[in-house]
Amino acid sequence: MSRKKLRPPLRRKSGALEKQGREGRRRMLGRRGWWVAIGFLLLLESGCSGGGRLQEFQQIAAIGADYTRAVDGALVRTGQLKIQANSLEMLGNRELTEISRQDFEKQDAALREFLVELTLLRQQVLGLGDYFLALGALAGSNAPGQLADGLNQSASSLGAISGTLNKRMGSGSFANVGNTMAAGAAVGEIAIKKRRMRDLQRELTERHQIVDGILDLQEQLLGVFFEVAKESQDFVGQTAYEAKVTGPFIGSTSPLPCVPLWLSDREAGLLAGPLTEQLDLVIKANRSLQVTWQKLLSDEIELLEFPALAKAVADALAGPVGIPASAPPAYWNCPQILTTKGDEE
Amino acid sequence: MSTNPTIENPDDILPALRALKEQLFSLEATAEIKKCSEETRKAFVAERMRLTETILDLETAQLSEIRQDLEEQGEALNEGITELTTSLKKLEKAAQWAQSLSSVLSVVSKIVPAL
Repeated sequence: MSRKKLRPPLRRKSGALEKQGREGRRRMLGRRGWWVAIGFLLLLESGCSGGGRLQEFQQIAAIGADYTRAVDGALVRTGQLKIQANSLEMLGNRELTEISRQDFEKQDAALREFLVELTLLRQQVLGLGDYFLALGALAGSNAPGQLADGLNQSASSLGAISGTLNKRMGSGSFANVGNTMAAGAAVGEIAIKKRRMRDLQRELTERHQIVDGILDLQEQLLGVFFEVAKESQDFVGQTAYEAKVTGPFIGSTSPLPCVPLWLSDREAGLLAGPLTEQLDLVIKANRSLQVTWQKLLSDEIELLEFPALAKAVADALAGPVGIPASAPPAYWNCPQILTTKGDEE
Repeated sequence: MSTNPTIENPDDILPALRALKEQLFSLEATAEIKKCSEETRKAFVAERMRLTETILDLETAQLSEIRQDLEEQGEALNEGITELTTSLKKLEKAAQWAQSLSSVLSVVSKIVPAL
């Protein structure tokens, strides 16, 4: 019995074909490997809940910037009211006796010093606003998306180029570059997002006490302005109303010097929104922001808490609800008011 | 008319001066002083103006103290703004690089088939 001859081993494939096969298997494994890596990284990113934390930064940055506008507005209004009150005081003084240029200029000088200080304070307040804007710009940056888009588009172009080159050269060696870049786009986007989060977290850790300190100082500042506004408001509201509206009206049937002006003064006096109420709202917004800022640092904040803070700041910006007064009459409606002593003579 | 507040510490000075000013500018006080001589009215007005200037000076000093504290903190805040801006620029540079690369490759991809 003859032994069946063992079949000789299969002839090995030719070198070029085998090389192609090896490369094909490597490409397939490499491509699969990339997708596994991307899937893992995406899982890792979603698991880290970076997205929620980022939203917290964006929210507080936007609300913080609005808060500084509310503070600035309150400071400006207090300055305006202070000038108005001082002007009415000087008019009252002038009714009693002649005021010298020197005395008038001394009042001006004292008031100017106050207003210079107010201007410098506004700069500090707006500086905090700039900080919140910078925080918001980083938190809300579209750079990760733009990076991914750029790399994905590059991958498509490379795919087209490699397709053409492969046809020309009769090989598949250019295919990997486009695939690698597509995989790199996903990885790059994740990496850049992580970098942004790291920078934001580092910024919060390094400067949370500074911002905390500034908000605390601003609370003190608003307290000072509250007292200034109250004094000016009481004087303008009561004394001026008495002098311009009630006083001229009662106890006489003589014609009023300027009826349109009297009507306008009465309307403005009755409708005037109290500045102290607005300052109260700004102080409340300040305190809410201080609490939220602390919670952000300790990561105890929840996104659900932000609408309440946003509302507190929006209320501070809008001021107390009231009815706006009409515009005062044009000066030519009251020619008698404009008559000076020189003109009379 | 409000009663005169007592001064027990420096923080009480400003409220006390404001209360005094409210009395001097009240309608009752003004009505009474109008009955007096020109000399008396002149002196009264001079005191009123000096009181207003004193209150303004004290308020300005109060604000200045807070402002200086804010300025000290402001320097550290400016550092924060610089770092945040630098971080943002680095991110945007990376994105810009990717966008530039995509523009170049887009052009090349159109040229290659024609060669």
